[in-house]
Amino acid sequence: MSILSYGFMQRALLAGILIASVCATLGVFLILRREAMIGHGLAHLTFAGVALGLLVHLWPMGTALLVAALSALGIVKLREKAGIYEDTAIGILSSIGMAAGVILVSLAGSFNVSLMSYLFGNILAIAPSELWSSLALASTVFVVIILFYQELLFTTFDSESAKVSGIRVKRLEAMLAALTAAAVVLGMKVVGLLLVAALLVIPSAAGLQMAGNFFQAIVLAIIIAVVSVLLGLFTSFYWNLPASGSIILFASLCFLGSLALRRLRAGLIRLCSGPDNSYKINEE
Amino acid sequence: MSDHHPYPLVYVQGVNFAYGTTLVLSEISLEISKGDFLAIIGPNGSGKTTLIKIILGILRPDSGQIKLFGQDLGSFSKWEKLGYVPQSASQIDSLFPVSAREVVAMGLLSGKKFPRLITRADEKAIDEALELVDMGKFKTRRIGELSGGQQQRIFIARAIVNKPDILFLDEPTTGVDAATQTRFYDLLGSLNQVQKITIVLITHDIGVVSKYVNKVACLNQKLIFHGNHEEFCRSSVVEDFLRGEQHLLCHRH
Repeated sequence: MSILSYGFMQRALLAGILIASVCATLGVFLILRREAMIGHGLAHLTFAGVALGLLVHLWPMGTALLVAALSALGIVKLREKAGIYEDTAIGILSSIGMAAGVILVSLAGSFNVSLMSYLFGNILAIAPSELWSSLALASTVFVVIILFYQELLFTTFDSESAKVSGIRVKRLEAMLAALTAAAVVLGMKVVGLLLVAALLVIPSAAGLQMAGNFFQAIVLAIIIAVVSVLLGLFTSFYWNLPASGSIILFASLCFLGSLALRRLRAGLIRLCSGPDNSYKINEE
Repeated sequence: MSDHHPYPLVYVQGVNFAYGTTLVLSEISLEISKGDFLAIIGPNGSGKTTLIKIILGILRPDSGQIKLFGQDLGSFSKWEKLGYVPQSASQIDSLFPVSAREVVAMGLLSGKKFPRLITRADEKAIDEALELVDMGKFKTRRIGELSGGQQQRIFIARAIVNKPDILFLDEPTTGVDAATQTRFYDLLGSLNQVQKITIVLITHDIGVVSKYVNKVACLNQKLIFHGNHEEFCRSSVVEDFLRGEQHLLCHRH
């Protein structure tokens, strides 16, 4: 296929598939922990990190990663120590991040194309060096998730019992927040800061509609994320549309499809289980 | 019933705990020995759940000492000796996509070191635990698709999959019908008598559990009573406190 003969497209496909997979995997944990909005909040805070990088002429992805990771830990600590709800902590810190970002960008005089690529994503412009750094970061996130998979699942499902099993729940929660920060920074290259939360939430939400167990939910979320990236990139290439918006719209279509499939499945089960419309299994 | 053992499995001495300025537990001291089937009873807000959470290290007491298996709670590390069925087990998110097998597998993590991976050998333990609670055929079912009684059995399987010495259950039959409750308590009685698992049960079903328990702790911020079943039935302090409900626990069906 001619599309794959272009170097920039090869890099975009490789980075897009890996980063979307990381986001989808983390998204399943975040949704079930009722922390879906953390991606949205971290994206705002990451904007301040990008702006800082532009101001001091450092690698913006590096400063973004640093600010996002510190912010993620800040959200966890604010929730623990200040005794406030997580969405309140996210609301406060993300507003601070956005306000600081606007000021820093203004000071740097960087309201330009470069900033737009961070806000709206520019996956087709990923440089080879960015690809390698993205691959390294994404691989690290994946390895950590695989190593802590069982503990993350237990903590997500029942954190109290996980603690009684000797699992260091708070440490694990901080780690998950830091991994999410890394995913937000990675996702920034694919769909931009304004849409990165969607990459974390929508494929995972779609996977959760159809899964029979947790592992299936992750596999389905990854498949949906990868398909969305592929369709988004092809659409972008052939119809000259923004890749970021295309990817998220395809993911949203997958989500709607998963909702329809779930309703269909529930209807079939009700139909098979008799007139009481109950699909709970009988005691005996 | 209690076997000779060099130390109590649970030792609680002078525990105090307050949520902010609200005192919840005052000078609680008790011991739980191997083989006990202890029922902790008391009115709503009497501190029963708080006491269990302090014993298990989920909450930190304001003062007092906790020892598990003779070891201070702060340095205790043999979590595989404990099984826990929390109150929240009866309020699980029915949309959470986790299978019965995955829930039971969680119980194995306490006995593992990093990386805590589930191996093929663990699958046998999972199958055995599910069979013990008569839920083997529901292994691959999503937990939210099971009835309340079946979900409780899965949580019991999770708590016993590591073959713990002591099992803590916090109002495990909330929202479960009477017939299922009886089957559930029969299972606990069997775990205590046959599997020799010490059981600590917070319950409101004092009539239903009477034929299984051999120790009773009656709590209302302070420990009103702690002793064996027979002493409980003769206690005038308990009679005053329970106001007519004492006989429910003393009448063994």
